[in-house]
Amino acid sequence: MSQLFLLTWFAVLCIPCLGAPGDWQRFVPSLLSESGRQRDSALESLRRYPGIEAALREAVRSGEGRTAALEVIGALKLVSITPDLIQTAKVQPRTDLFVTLNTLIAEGAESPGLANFYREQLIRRNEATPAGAVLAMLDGLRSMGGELDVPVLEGLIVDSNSQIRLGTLHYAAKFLKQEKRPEYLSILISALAATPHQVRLEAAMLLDSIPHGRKQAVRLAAQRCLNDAYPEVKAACRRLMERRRAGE
Amino acid sequence: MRLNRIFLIAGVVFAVATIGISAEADNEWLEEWVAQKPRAPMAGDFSAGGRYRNNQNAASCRPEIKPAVPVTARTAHAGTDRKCTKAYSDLYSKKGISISIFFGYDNDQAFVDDGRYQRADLEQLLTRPPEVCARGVILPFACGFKRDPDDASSFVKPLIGPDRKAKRVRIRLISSSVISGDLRNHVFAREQADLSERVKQDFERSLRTEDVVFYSGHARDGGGPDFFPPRLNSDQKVDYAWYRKHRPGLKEVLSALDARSKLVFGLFACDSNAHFRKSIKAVAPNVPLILTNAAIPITSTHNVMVASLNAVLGMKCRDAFLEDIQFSQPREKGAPVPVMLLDGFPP
Repeated sequence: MSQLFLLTWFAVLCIPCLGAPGDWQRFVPSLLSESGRQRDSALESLRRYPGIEAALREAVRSGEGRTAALEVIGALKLVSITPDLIQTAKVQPRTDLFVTLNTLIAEGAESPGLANFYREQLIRRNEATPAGAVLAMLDGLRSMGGELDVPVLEGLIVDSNSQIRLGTLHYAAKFLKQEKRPEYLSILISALAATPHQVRLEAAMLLDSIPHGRKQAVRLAAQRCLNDAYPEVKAACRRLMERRRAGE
Repeated sequence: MRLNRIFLIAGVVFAVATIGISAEADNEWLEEWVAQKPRAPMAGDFSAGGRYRNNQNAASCRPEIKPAVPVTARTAHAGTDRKCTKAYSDLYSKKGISISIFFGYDNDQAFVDDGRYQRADLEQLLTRPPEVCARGVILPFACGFKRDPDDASSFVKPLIGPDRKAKRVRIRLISSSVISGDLRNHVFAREQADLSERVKQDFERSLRTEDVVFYSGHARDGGGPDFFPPRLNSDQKVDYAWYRKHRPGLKEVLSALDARSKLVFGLFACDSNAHFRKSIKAVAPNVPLILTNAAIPITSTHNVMVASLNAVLGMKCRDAFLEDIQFSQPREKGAPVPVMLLDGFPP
């Protein structure tokens, strides 16, 4: 008799808590909320959700609910799902997969493996690779300290997509600031004469923020943009020249 | 003994019924969503206010609208409605049409998506060669643009207007973050401050002068479009209380608009209908708005924005416009669906 009451009690109170497969997705709208309280509550519910990691892995693998799953993986910083994301990104190099992988880097996602994967993908990229994915890989490598060979960077700096060119500049500048890979300086110097003008401007600004370098080469390159048609590029070049002169 | 058996059967029946009811109550909307049951749009979906009822809290939350005609067969000037045709005739009355798309600044987390990735993808999409656009690609009107060789933000292409005359469409893409992730941008604090200020001024100017302005970014919980690194509270989290109180971005929008404003304004930010619609309509009643009715992931926001761009370039009226929005969503079960509101567009 007591077993019967226990069964009934369980049915009334506990079964609804378990939910149905895919039920975790109902927390996603709150997760995206700008209300901190709603977001925290959704995060807590997802953390305690039974079998959440398995459900997210399945969503990433199958594609059913993948967009929602990526939001959750990023928010919960589920580093353990990194291999599943890499496997999926190999087949479908979607921008959001790489952006999610990047969110896991700070949490200690396996850097050497991930860096190698990014390197391979950047070398193999073709017209079908989303430009956002290429940019995300550059950002991720920059953060991990994953180095690229100069010929790869030389290919990226002349990509038709301006955002990839800009991302390449920031990638190279990060290493130069840390006084590593001095050969990357040529990427920034060549960009002072590149198009579009946003690339020249960014190159001048980044060169200005690098403490060391081949002063003579930088100054020579900066002379090329001193008469740039765009006033902001001209100003950045002038500043770069003056600082280099003052630093001597 | 018999009484025990009766209780046992009753208990099992009760338990089964309870499970069934609770599952049904909790997951009815979700099952519909996951199942992605196609549902044709009904007249009631398009109320007088233009609200497209696609609420995630409602039982039916993912109406999938199948395109009525193959993408290849779609043409510009799809509208037959006179008001719609008039609206597009007005929009395309000049020799050129200027569209500015602004990407707002992201939150205070490293590597979170701040529009640069979306912008890179959009640039790739817009610059698909004309021969590719003619092949029946998705979003065929947001295609075939040529980039200005020396300006990364500028894209142009010719287009035949409603008056059958050639028009020049110019799209500008404007980002507000120096590099991805706010933590990283602290390294470039001075450059970031300069860029944010420039983009803010550009946005205000564009609201006064452009034909179409889209903002894709955070709503700052009603604070408005924002191109600056977020203001943080003592917990180092975004200070939403301050944004709600001061509404800096919304104030800038309202000061730039007036009763004569006629641009098409898309606010692709969380809950932009609830946050901004009333205030904007109060100062600029003639401005057609494209708004969201929920918090949506950035991927969906971007898809909706691109679909809206395609619809404006394709001169699509309401139904075809909404069809584009639905069509742009990832073909995956369970994908969060943006909840859109078209207010006064096309009127």
